[in-house]
Amino acid sequence: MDFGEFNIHIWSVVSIMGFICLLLIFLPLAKIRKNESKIKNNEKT
Amino acid sequence: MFQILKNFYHKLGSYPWFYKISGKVIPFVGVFSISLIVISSIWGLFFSPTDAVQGDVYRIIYFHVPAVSVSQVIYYSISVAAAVFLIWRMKMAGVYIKSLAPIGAAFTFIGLLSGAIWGQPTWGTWWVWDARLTSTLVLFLFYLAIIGMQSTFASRKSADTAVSIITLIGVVNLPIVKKSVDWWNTLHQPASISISGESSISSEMLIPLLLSILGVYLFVFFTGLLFMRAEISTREQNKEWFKKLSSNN
Repeated sequence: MDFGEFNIHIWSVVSIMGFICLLLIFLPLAKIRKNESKIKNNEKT
Repeated sequence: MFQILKNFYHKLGSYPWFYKISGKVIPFVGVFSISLIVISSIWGLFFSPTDAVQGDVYRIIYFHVPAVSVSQVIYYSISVAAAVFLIWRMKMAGVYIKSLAPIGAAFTFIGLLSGAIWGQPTWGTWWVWDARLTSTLVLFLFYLAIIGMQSTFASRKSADTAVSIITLIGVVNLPIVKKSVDWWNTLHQPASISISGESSISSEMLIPLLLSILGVYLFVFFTGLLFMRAEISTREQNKEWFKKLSSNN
């Protein structure tokens, strides 16, 4: 495939996989941050 | 050797030890796995040759095959964890199943969706009820059942036990997924890559495919550690070790 050539089938798979992979990274990170910051907030109060 | 493995197994059951070690490993595995996926994707999309029959659309293979392959391996691994939980009541096995099930479901979903998008131009249809596709859909439903069952029990121990049982029931489906293309006459082609025999795919296409499979496996290891840390941080947020660790960060 040449650079710049657009194939709707391929790029829809790439974008769906990219989006799901980002979710798989950021969802647990957000949960860890939330739980750790809960402890810090409790300490402050 | 046995003693080292035994010590490692006992350490693995400790939440503080796992939380500390995983925090050190995660950045390296994350950078390495994402780099590998990016390199293999660029290689597969732009530098591997075009297929004589399917044209460029065959390049979906670089996403479809790793996703489907890893979704089955994740299920095998959570089945082992389910057996460990039921036999030895190891708490970490429950954490492992709960953490890996959403990742397995996500990759099975990617496999099903990318297969449908690939099937439309090559088979002329998005979906057929053939043995491979149906058994993969059943695998996806088992993952959903495992995720759904986590929140239906008040006690964590009961939830982990029920989830372990349903996970072990689902193992029956895995050989069917793998062997469906050999046992039945399916629209889905038989496997192109073989560990024991010769692969029916040219090496120019095979190398980036193997790299993308390795990248996705490492990515699952990376996100698996992240999900397990998140689950431990939820289960242990009232424990002294976690409070001490969080306030030091």
